[in-house]
Amino acid sequence: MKYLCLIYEDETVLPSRTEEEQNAIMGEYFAFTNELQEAGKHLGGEALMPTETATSIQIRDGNRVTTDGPFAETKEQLGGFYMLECENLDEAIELASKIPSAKWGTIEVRPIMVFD
Amino acid sequence: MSPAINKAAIHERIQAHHSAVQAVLVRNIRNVQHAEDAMQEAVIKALQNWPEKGLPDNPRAWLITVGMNSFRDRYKKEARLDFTADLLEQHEEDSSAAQNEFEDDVLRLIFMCCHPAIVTENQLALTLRLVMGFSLEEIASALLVPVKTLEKRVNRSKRKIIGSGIDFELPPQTRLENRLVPVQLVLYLIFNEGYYGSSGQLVNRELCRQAITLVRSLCRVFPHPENFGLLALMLFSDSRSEARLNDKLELVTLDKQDRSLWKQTQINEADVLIQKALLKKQVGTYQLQAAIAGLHSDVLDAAETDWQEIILLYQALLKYKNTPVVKLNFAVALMFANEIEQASRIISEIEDSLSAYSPFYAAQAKLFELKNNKKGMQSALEKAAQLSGSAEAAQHYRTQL
Repeated sequence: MKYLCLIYEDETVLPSRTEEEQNAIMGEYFAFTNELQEAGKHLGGEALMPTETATSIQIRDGNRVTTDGPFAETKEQLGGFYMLECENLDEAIELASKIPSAKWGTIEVRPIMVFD
Repeated sequence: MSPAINKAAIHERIQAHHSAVQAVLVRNIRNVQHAEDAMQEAVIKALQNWPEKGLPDNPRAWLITVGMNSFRDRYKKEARLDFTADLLEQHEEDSSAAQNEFEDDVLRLIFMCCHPAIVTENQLALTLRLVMGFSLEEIASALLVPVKTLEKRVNRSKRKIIGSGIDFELPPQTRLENRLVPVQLVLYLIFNEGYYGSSGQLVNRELCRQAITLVRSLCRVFPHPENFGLLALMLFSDSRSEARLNDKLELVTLDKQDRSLWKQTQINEADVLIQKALLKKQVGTYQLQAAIAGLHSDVLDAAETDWQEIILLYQALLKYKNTPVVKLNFAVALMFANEIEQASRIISEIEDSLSAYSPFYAAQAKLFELKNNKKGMQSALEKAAQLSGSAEAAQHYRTQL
């Protein structure tokens, strides 16, 4: 099954990290992504720009309404994602808990819907 | 076919096979919702047919076949799958290997219902529904939630199982640690429901017996020391069933029970289990609770209870499970060991968090009694009676007034 792992963390913490701390985290992410790729579990994944760059769009009565900001203001924001191929939910949870940000943020695991 | 039998006997028969039939249906149908529907169809047909035609020779195979047929009729009309004969043959063998296969399927179903990605209260509700075969109404009244709410939760959990990739498989050793804990907890809660009966009935021994059977097969497949601890704990508690109620069906506390009514064979088995488990040096909450229960079970005179040892075990248990209820039991042990000051401190510490818990007031009454505070004792007993879930337990507290 395919699973989308959504990575939520408090983006306001980011600027307060020292360069070494930030490099260490990036190193962890690179190593983890490599591990996923070697195991054939990695279907995709990206980090996102902070929510201040987000634009939310709605069409109402045929008119486009754009809002400057994310869909919802939350304490932790969507900061990136992985798309994984897993045998079952147990494996998805196991891999998701190895995502570095799981140690300070929250990972939401969402199964991908299959249309048949 | 045997001669016609009455409704109660039929219900009992269906209940006895419910978990195995439901589990085989889930394995074959691979969809927990459709399998539950098929089970319900099979039960309805059994209730229609058996009173007149008598019990089939193999009720379990009958229920499985009828359930599979109803599923096939409903969803697979075009593909006339011919598994009926196969299934019947497969299930008529009465070898222990076949029995183990049934038990493994039931365990798979339990692990599915108790997946850690499902909220604990929903795990419990699902297990009561799918494994134990209780109706939504019965579960709602036991868990003290409205039927509508319970139905929503159960349906949501079933959709989660179907949609999120929760397998009908026993977890591999590498994932066992995370998967075992919720299964142990739910089986423990089911046993307690039977033992303490929050749903108006004091004791449901059949429920206790079923929980014990399930933990036995859990021990066979996963010989983890905590599983043995859980089994020992249940056996120690269950061994006292005959002595817990007097002739008037009133609750009798441990110190006043007629210990000759305790089932010695169960106690002996539990003793062996807990000793073996503790040798593995992977101590956990069930082993510690069983060890405490064992210290009560091994003395035939309440006055000879080794309270000092029990206090030590509670101190160890509190390191793993620092909950108000464990603290309450610790305080009671302290009272029996005449450590009134420490008991008193703990009782006031936990009062706020246990203000709706009947046994708390029973313990508080005991403390007031030790302190010669008659008034305090009476009002505590009155609260215990008001809060107790069963008529028998309420009566027990009121007779002490």
